[in-house]
Amino acid sequence: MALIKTKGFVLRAVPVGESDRIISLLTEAHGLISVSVRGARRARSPHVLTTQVFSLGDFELFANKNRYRLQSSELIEPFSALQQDLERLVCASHLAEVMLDILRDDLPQPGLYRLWAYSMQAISHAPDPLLAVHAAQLRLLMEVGFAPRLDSCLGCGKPVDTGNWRYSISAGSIFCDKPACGMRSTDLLPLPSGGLACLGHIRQAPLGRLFDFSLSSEIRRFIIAFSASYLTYHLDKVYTRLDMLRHLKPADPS
Amino acid sequence: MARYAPSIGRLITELAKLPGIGGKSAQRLAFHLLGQPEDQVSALANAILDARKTIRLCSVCCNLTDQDPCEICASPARDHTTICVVENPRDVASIERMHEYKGLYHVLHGAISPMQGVGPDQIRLRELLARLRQDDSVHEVILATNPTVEGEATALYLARLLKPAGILTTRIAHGIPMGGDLEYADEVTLARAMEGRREIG
Repeated sequence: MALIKTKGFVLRAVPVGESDRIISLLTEAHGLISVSVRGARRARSPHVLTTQVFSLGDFELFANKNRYRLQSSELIEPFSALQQDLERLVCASHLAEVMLDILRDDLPQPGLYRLWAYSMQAISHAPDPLLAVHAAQLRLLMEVGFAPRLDSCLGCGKPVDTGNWRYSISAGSIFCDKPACGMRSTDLLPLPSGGLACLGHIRQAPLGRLFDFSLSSEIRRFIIAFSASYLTYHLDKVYTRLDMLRHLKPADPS
Repeated sequence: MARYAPSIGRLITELAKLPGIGGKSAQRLAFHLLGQPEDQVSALANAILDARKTIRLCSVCCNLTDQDPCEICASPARDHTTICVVENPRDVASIERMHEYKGLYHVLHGAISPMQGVGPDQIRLRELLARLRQDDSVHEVILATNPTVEGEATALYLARLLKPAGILTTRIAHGIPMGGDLEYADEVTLARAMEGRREIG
């Protein structure tokens, strides 16, 4: 049995038994690990806050093969802004679900760890958390091998220019406006030039500047729709957490 | 299960479905029950069946009750101008143990939890809003959801919902537990305790 010290984000916290929790901890060095925490839900437990979902903390763990047990913990950042804004909490919950579907247990993926760290900051503080979560999920898909071809037409190889371009999610590429290009794709849609620029930014920007952009309402709508379709197509799963945002407009009780 | 008579196997299987009970515990409980006199086992079985048949939700506060409205809602001795909102019936029992609170309750049966896919429509929020709409004698709503991510989000959502109605909405205090040690308190709890400080003497 070895004692390891690691910094990590709690991506999921599942109550177990009377007062225990099992947390899914995203760490830089060990990847996604499952940690059991005895008594974590008791009011006097030193782990009550550090093991709450979305917390960032320093953790000391006993590791036995692929099983981890929490020994001690210290809170670094609780991301309280998420608790104070249900829209941000829904966005973070959605991204956590996508992350948990993509991450492999016990496999270090430092790039994804850093992406999660920057994404949490953006979702907590950005003026538009919904746009931030879509940018984060597109970058996540690009990081794990689902990057769309954005530099030239898949049909004829023409480099991208200022003309009219179209995109196909199933082909994972853009197409020029020649009728022959993309004729086999059944989901061809017009690609606004601002949308292409934004997708290029999301693919290439350093993580520290990933969320530094502003969009017109038309391009914002495009990016959100593109990101939602791209996720559903490539992960072959319908994600419903963000649907909750539609029901969050408070009704008047009076 | 083939090691046991079929009826024992069935008992173990049913007990193992209870929360927090694994296969070994179920086996232990089953053999304990088999070792008891028949009248005691019947009393247990009848208690489970009676509770299941008679317990329902109070039409006013949504707490579990065997009479409608529940004892608390029907009591004229309670303060009907204050409603304490809690996540589950166990929280009502906890607050009642304190013998300090004399108002009414509303049980949400959960908290908004996007991680679990639980939205405002899946908990008993609508019933609370309808209750407040019908009863204009309520002056204060105390939000006593758990101080967890989900509980805090639910409290804040409710507070925003109730604000336009002009009802005083308060949140239970957070801070250092009695008998606790400041040295071991985390920064968030300490900050909340500082925010909620009050004059003494």
